[in-house]
Amino acid sequence: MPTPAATLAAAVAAAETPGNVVDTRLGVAASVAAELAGAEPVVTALVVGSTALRRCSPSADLDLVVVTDRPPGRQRFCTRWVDGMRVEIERLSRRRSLAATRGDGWVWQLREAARLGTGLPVLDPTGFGARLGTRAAAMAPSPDRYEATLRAVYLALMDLAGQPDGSLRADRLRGCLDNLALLALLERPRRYQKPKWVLADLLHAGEDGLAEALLAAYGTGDALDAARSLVDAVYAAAGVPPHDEVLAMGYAPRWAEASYVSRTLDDAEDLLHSGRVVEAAYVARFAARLAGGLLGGPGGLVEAFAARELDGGYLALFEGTEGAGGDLLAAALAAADGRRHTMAA
Amino acid sequence: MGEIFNALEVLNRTMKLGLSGLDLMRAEAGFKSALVTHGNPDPNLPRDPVALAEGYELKATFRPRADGAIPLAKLATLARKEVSRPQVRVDAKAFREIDRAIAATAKAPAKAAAKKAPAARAAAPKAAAKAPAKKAPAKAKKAQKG
Repeated sequence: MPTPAATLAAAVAAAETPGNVVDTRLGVAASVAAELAGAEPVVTALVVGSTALRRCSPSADLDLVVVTDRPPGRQRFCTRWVDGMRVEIERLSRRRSLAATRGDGWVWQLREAARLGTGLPVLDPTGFGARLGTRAAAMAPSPDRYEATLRAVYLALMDLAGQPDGSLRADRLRGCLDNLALLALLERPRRYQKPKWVLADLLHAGEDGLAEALLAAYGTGDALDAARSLVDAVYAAAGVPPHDEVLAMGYAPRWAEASYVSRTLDDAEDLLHSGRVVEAAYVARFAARLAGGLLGGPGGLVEAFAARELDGGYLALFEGTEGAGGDLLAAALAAADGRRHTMAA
Repeated sequence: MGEIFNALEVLNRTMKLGLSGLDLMRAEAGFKSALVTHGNPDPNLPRDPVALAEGYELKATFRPRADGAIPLAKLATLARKEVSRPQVRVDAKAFREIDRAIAATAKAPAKAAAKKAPAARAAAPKAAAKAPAKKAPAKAKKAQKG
């Protein structure tokens, strides 16, 4: 019988955008790039985002990054419609693109670099686009932060081993696995994109064991409605507008953290509508955990939820999961050791 | 009572006192005995440390003294041991032994001091007359050690 991770891997592979759809979109991007190159000094044009990673639907936006020899000025972002397809164009100067793919970094910097690095060149007369890919892949997570995160994981694993409360232990383990997933993905060219793609990217990176552990720790049953109720309850407790309002605000600096939670929850809904049920279940629960961070207070998430009498709803999300049994702990330790060996190498 | 040990363990780590696990257990048991002897808030609790220990077990965990103080590989080994091994548990029998040891070491100097104080005062002129002055501190040190 295939493992949940193997089943998910097959589902993820089946959900990849068909080659002909990708080719059509690349063709559209190439024509737009060629048109732009006739009017400005285009160095390279890259298709980025969901099309480049073969995760788009035929109607999704097409993201095109155009690297030019001069600063883009006010024309940095623009939109075009081609054959009913919305093409989002971002202009970057050569200098800025080089700066974005240099040195060490953490989540944000690596993600930005990976966006260029995993891009598909549709116009690249000098090989500059390919060079950006090489540079982005050579970037590394900040060693200090990487080690600090890994140390925190080991210490947390030691702590949870002494935790008599099974619910708390299981929740601490989820935190460890989240951090290990972050570290594992930061090492890879795609880096850590967002919770929506964590499971798929772990499988893409060959981290099946870690994906398996996450599935066991989070559970695979539908949790979207329960997670949404909990998120709204957290928002009410924290003085944040309801989820729908936060989502409708789009970019909302005042509610930056809540905005991220809501977008994650929205991603879960999107995954569910796309038939990616298992990933949706993980992302919905992850959004609930993110929301718990808004409550603040000392201690872990369970304590934070408990302080607002929301722990019942939170823990119910994980009913039926494996808890922090020996196999899961062993998987977490193995994943941590994997990160340690990578770091040493 | 586990909280007492945890507090001592944190104190040991943060203040770098260098107490061994056994030291911590002794201190915890000593604290517990002291709690009974001096102002125990619950009069129904047994006053005898051995009897008191009957209802408790001590769960001890070992932690690196400070983040970054040990190499990552050692931390990984320690984590693996902690995760795979059940907690160190001290049962009532071990508690009794610890409490007896504490009682023996805590009462002996107190009794000795109580008995020796007047005797020492009385013997002081004789000792001063018979022995060289430098030997007196040596005797005092021995008495302190018990």
